[in-house]
Amino acid sequence: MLIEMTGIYKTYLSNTDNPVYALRGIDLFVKKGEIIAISGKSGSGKSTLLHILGCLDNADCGKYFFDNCDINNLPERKKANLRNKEIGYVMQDFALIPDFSVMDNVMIPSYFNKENMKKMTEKAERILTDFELSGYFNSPVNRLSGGQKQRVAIARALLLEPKLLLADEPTGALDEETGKSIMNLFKEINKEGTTVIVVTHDANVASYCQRTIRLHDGEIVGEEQNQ
Amino acid sequence: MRLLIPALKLFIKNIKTYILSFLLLIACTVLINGKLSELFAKTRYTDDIRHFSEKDAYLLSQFLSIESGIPSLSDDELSDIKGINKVMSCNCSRTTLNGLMQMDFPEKAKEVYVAYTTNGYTDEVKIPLLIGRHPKQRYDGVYEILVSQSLSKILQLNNEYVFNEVEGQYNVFVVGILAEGNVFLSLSGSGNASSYFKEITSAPPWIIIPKEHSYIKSYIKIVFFDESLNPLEKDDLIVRLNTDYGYTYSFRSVYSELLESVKRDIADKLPSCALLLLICITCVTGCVSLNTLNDMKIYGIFRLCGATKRKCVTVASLINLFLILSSLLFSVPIFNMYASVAYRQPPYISWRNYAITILIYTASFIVSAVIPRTILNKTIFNLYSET
Repeated sequence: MLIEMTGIYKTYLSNTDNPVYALRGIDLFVKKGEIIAISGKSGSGKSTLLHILGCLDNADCGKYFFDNCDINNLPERKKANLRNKEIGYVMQDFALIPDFSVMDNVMIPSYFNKENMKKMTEKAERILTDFELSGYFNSPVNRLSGGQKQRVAIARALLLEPKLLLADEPTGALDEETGKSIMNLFKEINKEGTTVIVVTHDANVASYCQRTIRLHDGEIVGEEQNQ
Repeated sequence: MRLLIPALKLFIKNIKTYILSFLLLIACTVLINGKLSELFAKTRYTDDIRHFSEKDAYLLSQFLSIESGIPSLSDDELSDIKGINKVMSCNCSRTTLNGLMQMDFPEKAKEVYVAYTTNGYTDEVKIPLLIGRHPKQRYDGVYEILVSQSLSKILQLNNEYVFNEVEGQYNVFVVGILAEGNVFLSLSGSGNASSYFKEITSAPPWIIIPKEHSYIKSYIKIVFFDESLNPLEKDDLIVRLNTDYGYTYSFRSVYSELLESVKRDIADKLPSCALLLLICITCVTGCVSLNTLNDMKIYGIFRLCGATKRKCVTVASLINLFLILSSLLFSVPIFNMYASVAYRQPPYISWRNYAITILIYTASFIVSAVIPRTILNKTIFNLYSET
């Protein structure tokens, strides 16, 4: 089991008269090598759950084990290390630095660990070539199309071969065709052994995943196995 | 070390937005350095005068012209005068005036300044010195040149061929600004200094000695009175020297005047320097903070990719450091240029200027690093998370 989450609660503005209950008793189990979708309407708690899964945020209570590691008791430095090496992120807005080149963007994770830079550069080149971006190594990312930008973001997420790839509305800023190609890319990545969790409100996107977990008002209200 | 890479890339990316900070830092450094250099120069000059003041020495200045008819005295003749214990001769002859260059004065000068050093009496004389009576602000350029420079720097001010013609280890310099605005510079001494002068590059012309004034002769002597003289006898001797042989300056009175003037200067200059520094640091901090806020999303991306908050702050601080270091790199030659124009000095920066510059930059760095740190600590957690 890669992810074991039980009884996760998250409340915003808890000290005010109008607290926001973002997550209410979430139990989530994800096996290694799975590809799952977390769907739900806006405000259902999808992104909050993703941030807790990705160690960007802490749950108020509940237990979260990532690859048998108790995340709740992990210091910030080790969580950052997990984000660097074990978890890759793909965001709706691509989360790329516009003025940096494609290669610079892909290399960002390597600035925060002690991996060999030369090997990292070679690896980045290899991934970008696989993603049909070989001619864009030194191009600023703001000159790329949406699909290319998202492929750069995925390349960056995969640079350090993470166990888990988290995608927050990865097709949200893309047209339908490009969205499809990105989801196919996720499937390929998953086939190679990386666990993928996609947050989406789009049923079509969710259909690319093995199962879909539906959230409503911070609670899991259903789970469907996809074909 | 690896964090240098993103810091450098971000610094280059933002270089345009840092230009204002660059200019502010450089302008502030140059201005503060300029103001404090004047102050240091005057303080050093005051210290030199105090040295002679403590030795109870007097400056006997004999400015003679053909018309004046006042006889010049040799050292021996002066030593024979009752009450004078020792004489240090600093005679300057017109022969050394040959080849002095031109300088345009805004107004006619009326004062005489003497800068000298000597190795003849090493126990009494330390470093170059300027003696001036009531130096006026309008001759600030000349005054500053003399009081702020060491021997080698005074030499550098003059065209080298002046010195090439004269053999000797010169240790006394006299700059006289006469009532008609004519100026002379003179030197005397012994030994061979030609090898030294050859290394000196020519400075822009700055002093004029019209031929019609070539009869000017000047004898400057430092006289030490007998310790046994009581104050009344001392006063009498000074009056006699003034009347019969020239003009006697008391180092003590010059010192007290200077001390007052330095105190006034400090009171005048330090608040403006502090204000300049405050404005500079505030502006630089503002620029740096705006840049940090502008880059918040980038720090959020760094965090997404595995950077801790501390690493993000380190990157922000390194960017500040690049800003500070690159400004520092520019400010030194700019101050050199400024000094050569504003003070008519050859490029020259003392260790004090470096110390001031480094102090300004360190203060700016510390303050400008604290703000991004606070900003990042308070807000970075919000990026790509909803808390």
